[in-house]
Amino acid sequence: MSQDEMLRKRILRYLSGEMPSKEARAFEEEMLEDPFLSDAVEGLQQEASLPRLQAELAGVDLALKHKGGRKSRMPYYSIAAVFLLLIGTALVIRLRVQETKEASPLASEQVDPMENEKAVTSEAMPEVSKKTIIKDKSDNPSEEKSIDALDKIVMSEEAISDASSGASNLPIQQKALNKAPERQEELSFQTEELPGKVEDLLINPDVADQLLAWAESIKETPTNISSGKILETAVPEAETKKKTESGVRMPVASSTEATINSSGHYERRLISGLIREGKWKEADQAISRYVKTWPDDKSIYILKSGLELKQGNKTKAIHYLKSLKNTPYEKEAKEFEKKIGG
Amino acid sequence: MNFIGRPDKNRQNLSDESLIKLYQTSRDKELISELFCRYTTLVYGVCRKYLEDPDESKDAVLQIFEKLFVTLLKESPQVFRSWLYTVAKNHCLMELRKPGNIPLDQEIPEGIVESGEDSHPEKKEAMLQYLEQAQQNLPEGQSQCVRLFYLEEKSYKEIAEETGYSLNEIKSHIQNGKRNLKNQMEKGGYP
Repeated sequence: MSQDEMLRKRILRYLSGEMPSKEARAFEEEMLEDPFLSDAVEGLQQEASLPRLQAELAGVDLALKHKGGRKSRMPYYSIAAVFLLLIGTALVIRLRVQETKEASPLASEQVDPMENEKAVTSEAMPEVSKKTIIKDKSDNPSEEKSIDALDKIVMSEEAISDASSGASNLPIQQKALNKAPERQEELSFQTEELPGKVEDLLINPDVADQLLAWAESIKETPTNISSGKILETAVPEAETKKKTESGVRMPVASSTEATINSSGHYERRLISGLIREGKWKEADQAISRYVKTWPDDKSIYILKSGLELKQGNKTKAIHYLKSLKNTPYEKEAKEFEKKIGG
Repeated sequence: MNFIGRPDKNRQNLSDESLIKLYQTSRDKELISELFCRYTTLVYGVCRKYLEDPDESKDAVLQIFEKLFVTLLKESPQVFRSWLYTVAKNHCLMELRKPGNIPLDQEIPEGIVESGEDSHPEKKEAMLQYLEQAQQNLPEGQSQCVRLFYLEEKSYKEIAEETGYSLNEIKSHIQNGKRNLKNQMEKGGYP
């Protein structure tokens, strides 16, 4: 408390009559010896109402702050920081809007297997530099438009850290997720342009939680992954099969090394947890990886819908629920559609 | 660096006079703000006493504050607090006397303020010793109030309850009684 604040408090206590006699007498003696204090107290005493006096003094403080500028003058670097923050926010918003506009709906299954192989190969190289990854991508201009610039950086960095650490300390499942082919990740689960509506803003958060709970409660394992052959190379068994059938030979790594204790069920719960924690970007990425790993498992749309709903995108949430048509989840999805549609 | 609204610890620890010296070399107005903020309540109280009106008093505080930026570039008061009291009082008197504007600088003879003169412990002790013998020579109200306040160490409120005087009367009796005693002491060869 400043010198002035303490004195003010004392004067107000004295004027209120709350001060014990001994203290009051000491204060009075002080006043007799200090004409400045004595005059001031005499002046302040003119206002009989203490709350009004306090308000008067607060008004003086405020006026001084405005005049003095001590507390209103903003250092240049503060202004610069605020400015940078604004620019940063604007950039992120712009990128997000762009992403939404350019995205195509759930494209994971349309990815060229050759691309997939290429990506996996480049991932498997021990020293992957940021430069090469970006270059690799830019070699295919036709796909560039769907690549979000921000994601590109983030993911390149992921690749670098993965390569440099050798991913040896990561849990197997996480390792597998990190090794998932990048391009596929970028292309998958991007949404088509959906008209935003005003009611998108009015979301019942309970419905989103119900959706998440539903997704968590689904016990089915999406594909026969319990053998644990998939995750080591991040090439889903289902995909491997498919690609083998189509004549493309996929690199299958030493599956025996992997002791898989995970399942789609576990994965879905993990994603659900991310959504609940508000880690939307991570959740979105995890969903993309899930789709790559188990492209045939539609239950993930429930989580995607929940994720959108949590973020206030009602229309998108309904869109993903609609994707559950002709699946065992169709009936419940329709109920949720109704709930969200209000 | 001083962020918005965050008081500078180093400045807070500087004496009034050091802040002024620093201001004279740096011309950093924040130093004057820091200085003036230490006395806002007192200055406002003085303005309120002389000008009575709250708005006029507030304006006067702001004007006094602004004057400091200029005045303190040239002047280095020995005791800023006493000096500020005189500046505040003179400003109010000038306001009351308007339009007879006299430049502020000429109005402040340094050291005119009777600040803390009586608070010197030896002088106070001498006065209290003298008080017991001399208080009878004072007019009744003064004698009574001085005795109750200084010798019996009662507060104004207690004196008011005992004597029936108003608080203002008590205050004035004590002030006048004290002044008379001082005069008597000086005449009687007391220090």
